[in-house]
Amino acid sequence: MTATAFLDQFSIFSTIFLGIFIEAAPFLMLGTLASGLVEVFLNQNDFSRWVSRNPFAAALVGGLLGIVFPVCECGVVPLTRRLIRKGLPISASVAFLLSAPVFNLIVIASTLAAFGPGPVLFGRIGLSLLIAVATGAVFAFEKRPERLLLAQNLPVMTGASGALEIPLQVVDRTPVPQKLRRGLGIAVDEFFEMGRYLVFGGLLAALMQTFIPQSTLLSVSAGPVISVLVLVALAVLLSICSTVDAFIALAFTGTFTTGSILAFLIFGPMVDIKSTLMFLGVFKRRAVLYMILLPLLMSVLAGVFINLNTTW
Amino acid sequence: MNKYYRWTQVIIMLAFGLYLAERLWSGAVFFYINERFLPLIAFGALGALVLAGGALWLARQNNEYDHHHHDHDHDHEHAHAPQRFPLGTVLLAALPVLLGVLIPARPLGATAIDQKGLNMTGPLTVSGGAAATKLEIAPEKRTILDWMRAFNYAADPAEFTHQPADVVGFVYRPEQLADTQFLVSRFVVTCCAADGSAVGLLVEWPEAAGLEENGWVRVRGPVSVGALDGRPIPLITAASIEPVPQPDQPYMYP
Repeated sequence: MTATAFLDQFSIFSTIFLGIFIEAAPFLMLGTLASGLVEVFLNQNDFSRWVSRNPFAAALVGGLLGIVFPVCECGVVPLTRRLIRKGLPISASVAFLLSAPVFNLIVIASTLAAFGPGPVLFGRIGLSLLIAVATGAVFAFEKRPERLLLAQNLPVMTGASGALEIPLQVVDRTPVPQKLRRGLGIAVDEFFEMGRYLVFGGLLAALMQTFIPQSTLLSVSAGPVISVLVLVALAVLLSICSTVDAFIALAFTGTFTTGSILAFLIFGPMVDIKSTLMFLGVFKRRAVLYMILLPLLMSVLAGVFINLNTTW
Repeated sequence: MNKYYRWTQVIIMLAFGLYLAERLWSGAVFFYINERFLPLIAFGALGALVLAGGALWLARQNNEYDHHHHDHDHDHEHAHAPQRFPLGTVLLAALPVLLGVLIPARPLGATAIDQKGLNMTGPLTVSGGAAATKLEIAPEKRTILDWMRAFNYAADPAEFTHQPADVVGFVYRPEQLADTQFLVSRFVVTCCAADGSAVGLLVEWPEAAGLEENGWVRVRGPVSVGALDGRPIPLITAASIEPVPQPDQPYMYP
């Protein structure tokens, strides 16, 4: 490859990478700032009051919790980690992690803008919730958090039964400005820690985009099963923020089946290159595998089912 | 927490914030993202500076958030032992700014089309009521994207024959075209450069072979129905081709 050709390719690679990063970074900032605020303003007791002791019901609550936090998949990981350490049960945390990138006001608004009120909008919201809660519920079967989380992310106090013990109420009398500065400090550290996964994932996505011709992937758009697999693969490859991926999916409505578009919109926000790397910063590898495979299976099945049984 | 790491955090966040601010100011940010995200990027620049401030405060406070919390995010056990400088994290964190500053900012162009392919139908769907208004645009005012849409939505593309076209795009000449043809193209970006897909119109111009690849031109002429790879595509029999400077916003937004 000649020097100019290499520079051209590198320029494309760099433009794509920076496009992803510049777009995602503000959301990561939102997520880490929210996370820092949660750390300084929320006491551990708060969660035990809201969330049921029953881990399966907790998964449901976790799934719905997303409506309170408007973050995309970049920002949700540091926030979830913070919530775990604040005492949110793992089943709820996983459900939250998977549903929050879709079940929030910004994403609902953008999906509505792109597709209007219809099967795509409701399918996206409903199925994302269902799959997220189901995956969270599966995690409820593992009673020992230390088998799922990396050591440094374990909740602060865990009793022998695995249930969180409520510590004696510790009144935090630090003045608010001090708390804010502390929250800011936490946000910075988290931005760097999560940011490296974002950078690495963005580099990977840009590399694949620069060197795998899109035409190779897109020649398989009509089959009820293959279209689903292709768009799911594309969702992972493109790693686009859930707040805007509805507009990307719009580009496929002419050629791809509705089931595949839904699978793209459901699985993409849950798992892609950059978010997988971020998961690995919070959970153990086996847990991450479950977090990828279970939603993958359910998304693909949902997509294929819709293609074969409905005329959407 | 390593003291030098704190200061590099400050530098990197500051650099990133200033980088974003400069790109916003110069307009080069339009090479990377859709224009409607400008407020978001502005927030990003601000957020980066705020985070830089946070890191600065920590650097001057000697890195301790406070002393009675031991739920550290990072993997060290002893709060007060000197820490290794996390070179890997720093390099990764610095990479976006380095790439952004060292590589001259350029929008996606002809070489990227070789990579990503030309999109004949993709980002042409328009949601809901906007479809009707988009198709009512006068022919001379149609952009490349408008023309592609019109062709795709019309029952019979032949209805556009003899309509005048006046479009701006860059020159792209794939091998399969004759010497007197080229594609006047532009990238359509929905969210950011990562999803950019190129659209183009076929142009018939005797001196096509002499045009600079990737150069920006304004093409004027009557439209007829041409074909590319077996699909109908607007064909402009150019009456005039004039080189123009690269537009401030090189991408089109669906």
